[in-house]
Amino acid sequence: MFGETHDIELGQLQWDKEALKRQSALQTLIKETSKQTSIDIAPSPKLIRLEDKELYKYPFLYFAGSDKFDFKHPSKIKRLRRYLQHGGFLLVDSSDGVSGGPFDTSFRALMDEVFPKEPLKTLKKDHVLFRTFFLAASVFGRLNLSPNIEVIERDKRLAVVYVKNDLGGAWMKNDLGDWSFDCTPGGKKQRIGAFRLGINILMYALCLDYKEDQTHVDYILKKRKWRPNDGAQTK
Amino acid sequence: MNVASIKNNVLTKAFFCLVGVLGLAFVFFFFYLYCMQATQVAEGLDSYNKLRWLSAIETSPLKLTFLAICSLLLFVFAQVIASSIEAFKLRAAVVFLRSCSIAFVVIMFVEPSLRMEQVKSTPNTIAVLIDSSLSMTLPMDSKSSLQQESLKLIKASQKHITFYKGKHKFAYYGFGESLAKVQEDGLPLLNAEATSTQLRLALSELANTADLQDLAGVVVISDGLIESPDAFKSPLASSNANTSPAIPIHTMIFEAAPKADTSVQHVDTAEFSFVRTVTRIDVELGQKGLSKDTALPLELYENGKLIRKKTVTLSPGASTTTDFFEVTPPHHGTFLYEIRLGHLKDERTLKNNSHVFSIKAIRDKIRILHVAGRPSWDVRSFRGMLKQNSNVDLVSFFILRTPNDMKLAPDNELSLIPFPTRELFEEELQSFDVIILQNFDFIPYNMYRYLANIKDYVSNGGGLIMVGGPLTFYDGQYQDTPLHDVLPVELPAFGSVPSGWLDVDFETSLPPTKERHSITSFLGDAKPGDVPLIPTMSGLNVIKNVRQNSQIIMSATSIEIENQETPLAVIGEYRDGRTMAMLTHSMWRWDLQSMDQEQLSDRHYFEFWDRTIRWLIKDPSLASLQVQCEKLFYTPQEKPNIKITRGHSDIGFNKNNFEINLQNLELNTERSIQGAFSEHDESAHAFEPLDIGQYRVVVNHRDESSQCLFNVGHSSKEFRIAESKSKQLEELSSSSGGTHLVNPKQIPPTLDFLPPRQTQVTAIKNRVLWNTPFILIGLLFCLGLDWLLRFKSGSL
Repeated sequence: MFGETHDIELGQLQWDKEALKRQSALQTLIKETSKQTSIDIAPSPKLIRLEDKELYKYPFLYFAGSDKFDFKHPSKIKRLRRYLQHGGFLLVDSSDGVSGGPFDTSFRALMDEVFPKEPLKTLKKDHVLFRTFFLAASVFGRLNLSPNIEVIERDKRLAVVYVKNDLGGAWMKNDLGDWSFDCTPGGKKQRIGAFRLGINILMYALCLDYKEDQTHVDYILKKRKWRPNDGAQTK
Repeated sequence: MNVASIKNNVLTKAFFCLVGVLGLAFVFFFFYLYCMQATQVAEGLDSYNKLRWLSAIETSPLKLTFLAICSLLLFVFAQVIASSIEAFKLRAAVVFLRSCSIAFVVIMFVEPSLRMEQVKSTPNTIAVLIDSSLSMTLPMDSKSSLQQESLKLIKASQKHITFYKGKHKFAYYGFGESLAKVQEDGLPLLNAEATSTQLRLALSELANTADLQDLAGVVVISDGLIESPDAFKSPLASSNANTSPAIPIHTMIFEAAPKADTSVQHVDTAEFSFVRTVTRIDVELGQKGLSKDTALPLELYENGKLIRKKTVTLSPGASTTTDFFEVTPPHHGTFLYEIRLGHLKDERTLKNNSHVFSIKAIRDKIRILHVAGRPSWDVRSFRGMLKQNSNVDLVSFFILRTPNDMKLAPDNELSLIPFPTRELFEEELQSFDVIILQNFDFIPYNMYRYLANIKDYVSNGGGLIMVGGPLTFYDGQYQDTPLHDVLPVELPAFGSVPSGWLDVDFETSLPPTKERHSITSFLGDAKPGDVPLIPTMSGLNVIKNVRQNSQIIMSATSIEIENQETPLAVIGEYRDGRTMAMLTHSMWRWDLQSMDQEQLSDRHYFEFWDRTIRWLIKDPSLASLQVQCEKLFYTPQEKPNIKITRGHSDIGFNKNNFEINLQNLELNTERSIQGAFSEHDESAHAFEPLDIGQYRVVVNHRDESSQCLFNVGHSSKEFRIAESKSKQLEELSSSSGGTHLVNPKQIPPTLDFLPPRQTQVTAIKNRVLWNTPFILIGLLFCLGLDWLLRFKSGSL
């Protein structure tokens, strides 16, 4: 049986047989999301490999890592491409701790294989992702290596979101319920920012550019003149 | 040579010239006698009254000149040759004979013949044009109508008509929108039912049908209520006006005694309008004979139902008053509107106090309100589908935070906005074409008071989709709300089941191919072993049952509920609106299934919802059943025709029968007729002439229904014109040399008409005169005698 009584179950991508990074990070994010938003979300993410038959049941995949991985894997590349082209969303979280680390290098090479004509590009700060729930223009994580998010867009939606500041590191707690890592240099404020960004990304994956529409609602509502104004009584 | 000799010589030549002329005259005279004799003996000459001479040289001046010169030369030559003959008598005889020979040659060359013609002159025609428009049914006085008066005029004028018949003949025509010939004895049967009086058109048709040369004149009998502004330029004027006299047009009009009258003079609106968008209808009201300001009700009916009402004041000082209505067609299709103006106690006629017209509502963008109880994959897929449709104007409201969620951030750090319930569900609700309530519970947002508005919205033609989930249907406690009435499913009473949400996995099934609704008819059947077209889904809303007349278009089969088929997608109609209940929140899996299955198209999900939305808004392109009313406006004498076609015989459905319901929208009556499709999937039906009113034809076939509207009545255009165009008609008659008469008792005997001008050749006979042997014998005789005389006298 799938889903129990929850609308949503997130997936965490395991590319190969490498050790999973930030395995419990999503659980904390899910908890915070359930606490602060109306999203009904299963408390634990599902570990998903691209070759799994149930892939299509997990439109949101979280992929975190710090190590180099084998990106030359034709069948997986093809499947990942199809997943992303047909509505899948991939949040990539680098916990390398340095720019141009092994994970970063492997991931960029992977994206070159998956979408050779569509390179990662920096997301503008006025993008709807920064205001899907919180007004959060800063890109926080455990670290503060890069102020930007890189993305790949497909069919006018973000299909891949790449954060290099180790979001999972900011979200993760140990078995005792303490934070696994300190957030530097911003501490608590930076951690709150990391959660807000995570919730915004999740909200974006679920609502797409819904908040973008809000700016046009008034115009759309007033555009159509439907109410008669002729001084007559309506019967 | 002396003078006497010269004189003698001239006299001699003159004498022989005279002899030569006598020779010519002699032959021509006898030939003339021959011709006369020939005409006398011509067969049936008595019946020919016109003779014409014809010849081979016709009347060509060149040929005539050539003949004359040749004849003269021959004549001179004959004189000169003969001058050598000394003997006076012999010379005279030779000149005479040679002149005769020249005359014979000329006759042979000219080849004369006689054409006899039988010619008759015929009397030309007086065309009497009698106004047969509806306005002629208006009363002249308490005893008779204007039409009866016009027929009385003709009857009373028989003596004068007989007088005119000495030179002319009479042709009678009825005219309205066109010209129709009427026999004299059929005049009492002439019906005044034309919806306009197009005099110019009638005169033009007369000019085309009648030979203008044959027209002696025209008599127009009318009430003067003539429509077209250029009716008063006579199209009978000849193109060569300088040479042909104008055909006189005599106009005789009947005007009723003045009586107060109010009317809907003119209605001005767009022929097409956009659905759920205001369209303005400008109304011009007329009055005649009012003595004081008068307030009258002005009403607007839509498809026989009163929808707008106001009061207007007509003043004696203004012959016309303008006002307007605004209407909002609720859905695609043709609407019949009627403006009705209240009337005075004693009006001249009530026939001009209403006006029926139509507006065709076409689709602009589809405006959809998408409200979701919380974000989910189902919401995302739905939104993604709607956003991809360029014909959709989407207004979305998703509940991102409920009152139960923790507020850990100040509002200014959030992008949340209040849920504008009043604006959406009270102020702007009617502007939407479709409302989607997706896993939405109304209770936390105090929306109970707005649910009745949504019910009204649906009953007025709106579309509603209620998409399932744990928050809605039974668990959303809709069973005790006004919205429950419009849903195609009935929900269990609250508390009667432990949970309204079954958290089970299920497979989806469709009805057999031949019985599928047009929403799902595009889906084929997966072959055994293939990947299912629709993937396994999970989560079902519990219902009590499907409402009568609703239809299950998708079912769910789950092992966990004992393999019983339960409804998954149900559609239904509530009054003018349509609704769908989608009893799950996992349709998104259908959208995303193609991520996993390369052989599956990701378009099925889009196509399904696109068709659903088109069905909800009654998009005619989706309907396989089409009924077309041949016309929108019929007169009470006409038989309304409808044509019914279906486009889905290709899916193999064998049922050919259908039901036609004819509804009188004003009287709210209905009658049913059975029909059947032909092998070409079409059928036609003609109703017997119907009473005045507005009608809707609804055809039901299988699970589909299609309809069209028509109106039966007289056009009120004729009655709207309050003023007679007597003055303009007078100008028309005077410019053509005719006479203008108002309320005449008889057609006077002194009217001017053109005299009969046309003659007609009824028979022709030709007689050739030159080929008689006597011409040749005469020629040979003259030449022979000439030779003999000269031989005997030794002058050769």
